[in-house]
Amino acid sequence: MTSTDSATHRGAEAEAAAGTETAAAGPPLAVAPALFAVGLAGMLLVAVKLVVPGFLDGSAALSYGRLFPLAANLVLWGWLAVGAMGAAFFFVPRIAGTPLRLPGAARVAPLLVAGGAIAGVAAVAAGGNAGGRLLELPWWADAVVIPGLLAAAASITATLRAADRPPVSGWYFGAASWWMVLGAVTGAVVPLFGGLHASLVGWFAVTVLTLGLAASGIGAAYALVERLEPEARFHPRLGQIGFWSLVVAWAWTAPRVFQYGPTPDWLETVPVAFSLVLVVAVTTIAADLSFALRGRWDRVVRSLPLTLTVLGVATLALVPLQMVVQNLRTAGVVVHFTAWEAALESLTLFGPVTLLLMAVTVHAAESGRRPWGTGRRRLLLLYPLGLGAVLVSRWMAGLQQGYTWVGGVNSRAYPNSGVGFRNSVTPLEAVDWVQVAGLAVMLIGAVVLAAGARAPGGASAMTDEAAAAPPATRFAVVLQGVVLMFAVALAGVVVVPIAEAGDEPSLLAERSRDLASEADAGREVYLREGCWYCHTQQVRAAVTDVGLGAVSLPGDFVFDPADLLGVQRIGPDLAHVAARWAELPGSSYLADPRGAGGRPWSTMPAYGHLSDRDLENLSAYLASLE
Amino acid sequence: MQELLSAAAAALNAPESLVSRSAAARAKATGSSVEDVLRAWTGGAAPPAATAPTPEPAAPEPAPAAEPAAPAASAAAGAAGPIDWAALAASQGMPEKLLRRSVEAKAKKSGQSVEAVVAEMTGQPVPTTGAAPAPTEPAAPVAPAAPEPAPAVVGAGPAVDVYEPAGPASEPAAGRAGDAAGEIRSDGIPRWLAAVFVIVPAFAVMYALFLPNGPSCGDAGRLAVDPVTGVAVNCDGSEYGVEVVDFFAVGQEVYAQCSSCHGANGGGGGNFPAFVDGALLTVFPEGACENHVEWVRVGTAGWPDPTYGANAKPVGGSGAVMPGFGSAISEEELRAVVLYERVRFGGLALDATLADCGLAEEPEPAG
Repeated sequence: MTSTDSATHRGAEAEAAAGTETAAAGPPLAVAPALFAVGLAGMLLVAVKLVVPGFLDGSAALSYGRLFPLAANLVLWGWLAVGAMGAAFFFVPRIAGTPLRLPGAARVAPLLVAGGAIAGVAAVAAGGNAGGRLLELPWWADAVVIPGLLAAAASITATLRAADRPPVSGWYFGAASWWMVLGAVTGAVVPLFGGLHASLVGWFAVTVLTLGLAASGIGAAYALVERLEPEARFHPRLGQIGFWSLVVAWAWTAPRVFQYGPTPDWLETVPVAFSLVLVVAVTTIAADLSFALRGRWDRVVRSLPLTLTVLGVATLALVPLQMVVQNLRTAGVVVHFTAWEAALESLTLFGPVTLLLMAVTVHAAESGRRPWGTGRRRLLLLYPLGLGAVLVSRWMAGLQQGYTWVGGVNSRAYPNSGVGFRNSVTPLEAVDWVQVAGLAVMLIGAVVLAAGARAPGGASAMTDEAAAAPPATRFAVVLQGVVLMFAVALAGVVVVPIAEAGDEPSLLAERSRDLASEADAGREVYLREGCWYCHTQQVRAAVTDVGLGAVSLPGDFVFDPADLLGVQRIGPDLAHVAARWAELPGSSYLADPRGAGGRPWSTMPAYGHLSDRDLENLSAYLASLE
Repeated sequence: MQELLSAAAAALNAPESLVSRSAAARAKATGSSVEDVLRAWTGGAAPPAATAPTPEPAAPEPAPAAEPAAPAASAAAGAAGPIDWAALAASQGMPEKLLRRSVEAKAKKSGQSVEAVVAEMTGQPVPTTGAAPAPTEPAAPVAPAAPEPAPAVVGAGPAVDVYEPAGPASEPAAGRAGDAAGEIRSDGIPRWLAAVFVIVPAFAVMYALFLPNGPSCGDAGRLAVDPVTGVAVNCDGSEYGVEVVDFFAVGQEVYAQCSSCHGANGGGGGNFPAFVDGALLTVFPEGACENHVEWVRVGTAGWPDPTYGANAKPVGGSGAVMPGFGSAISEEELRAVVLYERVRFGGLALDATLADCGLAEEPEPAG
């Protein structure tokens, strides 16, 4: 904490001395890396739990279903959102050529976001999961985080508007700040919906949030190159093409999690087409940056921030490729619901944006001081190595799992449920260990970053980067386009599908309406303990799902109070688990899945720490899933 | 003209056919003559100033980085003095260490001095030979060692669409040591990127047009849904993954074990009963498949009653012994062989008998 205090102090001093604009950037850039290291450590524990199911058993707050949202949200909000804010406060004044406007708002913003996020994840760990993947923070935490995002967006926008026609890096920072607000607000209303509708809104919200984060990262990449290589010239049009194709395409990829799912068929075609457009966007951005750096690769290798920038942009190119494979149906039917989804989540949390924010953090820590020493640089560069191992392990696990499912059904040997699920679980141990090793290596880099993070020092003279022929579009126009495209995507992938699905209950939905009070309470336990991180409750009309019972319809979820569809099958689908549930010894199975009468191969955490009443209720809920 | 072409081709280190095509295109774009373009490209024939008379009135975007002329206008570290490796490395866009090693290797291989190689690289007159400013092999030996991929440079040259921009484009840059090597000042977007802009969205549009509602049943793992049970089924409505077993064929195969006594055509023999001409149905009539199966399963020794069958035949009355096959063949084979006998020799309908013998679901009632 001393480093933070002194950083704040130094930042304030610099502001007082030179009236500079870096004061607001100091605290977030110094604090966010620490939250990153903590979140990553949590993710490491989660990964260990996949291979050693009994690891840290018996503690409610450290069970998989609570630790995962805790760690993921800490990385998402505490590191990515706060770090992106710091990057924006650091670069936007330089881009605009004017001190940061609304400095008070800029100072409060990271406090609100980090504070709200920390309190929120603590609440999730204590059993306050609000549902919705990556949107689990309770409503009161949202009520703290969103004003923080709004304050940052206001300050960034006011500063950029002062420049009137900022370069493309300014577009990214400005648009990103509003995407964060729009995504968070959309995410906060998820609990107002239920079932499939909640799922549609929730995925859209998360997609817009990740768009905001990615845009911050890309803005930082442009700004870093502009600042560290002042003579590098960006193409006058490529930057704009990249920006607008990103704006148009990204939000439309949200329905990718519904392939063959209980949504209209056309909604499943949408993410295929738009993830292809995203390939154009990312290729253009990568090309623009690599043309600007052409002939300077020696300097890129020598400069740690530039190395991380190039790695970040290269990793960014993986995102649309990953999405395309998942979306194209022939491939999607194999990898959907598998660890392939976890690879995309790893890319979101630990991939391009993290690498680019690392670049900003290092740049800020080096500015006005001596550059980092070789030893520290080498340790930090372990991070991308570990990330590579994690990604490869998730892709391998996804393919392994998917092909086992298809193979099991096609050989008529077993359905992918009950004992049949074992075949897709046990072979994953090796790649799951690779993931653990990768995360451990990444953690070294994250700890080095957190230890070396400092508020930007020195006089921080403002260079005249804004003089470099900005595009002729006014910032207000850019912002209007961004909001318009958000609205169009919201209509296309949320409003219209919800209207089309309607709320006509299916016959199956009745089962979840008149639940006995025990089963109803059990559903609360199911949500609270995060069972839905590992179990889906949707059966698709696809090969992998043969033998899992009736195919899910939109109307099946009408009476569900929250989104319980799920996106990954670390455990088997539970949509019709009641038939299989009869084979198991009820709540004693939940308390100790590998115990007597259970399944020795199961990777499910033991829930012995739950009260008997909770176990009975959960058991009653599962028995109701006919 | 041919001379000029050869000279230009040599200067650009590109095949003549490509140079001629590029020159024609360039001339058309700029409104100048092909000769002027070629003369400008040869560089040797026309000093850098010679590019001035052929400005590009029609070309809206200036592309100085792409101009292959002007190596002479630049001056890097003096070839005579000590080599400024850092500046050279910056101008060549590669790490100093790598550059040094590459230059030394080249010098050793070609037998030249290190200075001569450097001079050649920077486009200066090679001191020992004093050759013309159009080197026959510009930066070619160094280019492969460069860490960045050559295609990245393509963006500079809208005029000459061969790989050659890597050569000339890097030379002026090399001259302005430390200056923005290989800037993209042109508005031209590299061809491969322009292709991406067209092809990828076109693919997306095609996908959306041809598969607006996803793959049809049977493609890409998609199955149909049974309207009654709601489960995923084959496209024809049958249960997915269930192979249709030809029980009649299985029965025929198993019957080989029975034919020694009952005859290959069910005609019996000696004390062994025949099946044909209604004989079988007299004992086990239609609907009595289960009795028949049980009889074959246990045989005379295991039969609990003194008589069997619908006509109360005494067990072992004919003096022959029927062995029990229950342990010799599987239940499915047992039922299949009974099915075979009843259909082949008893003349019963296959579908109804399949159901009767428990090998298929009860057939849907007619209508």
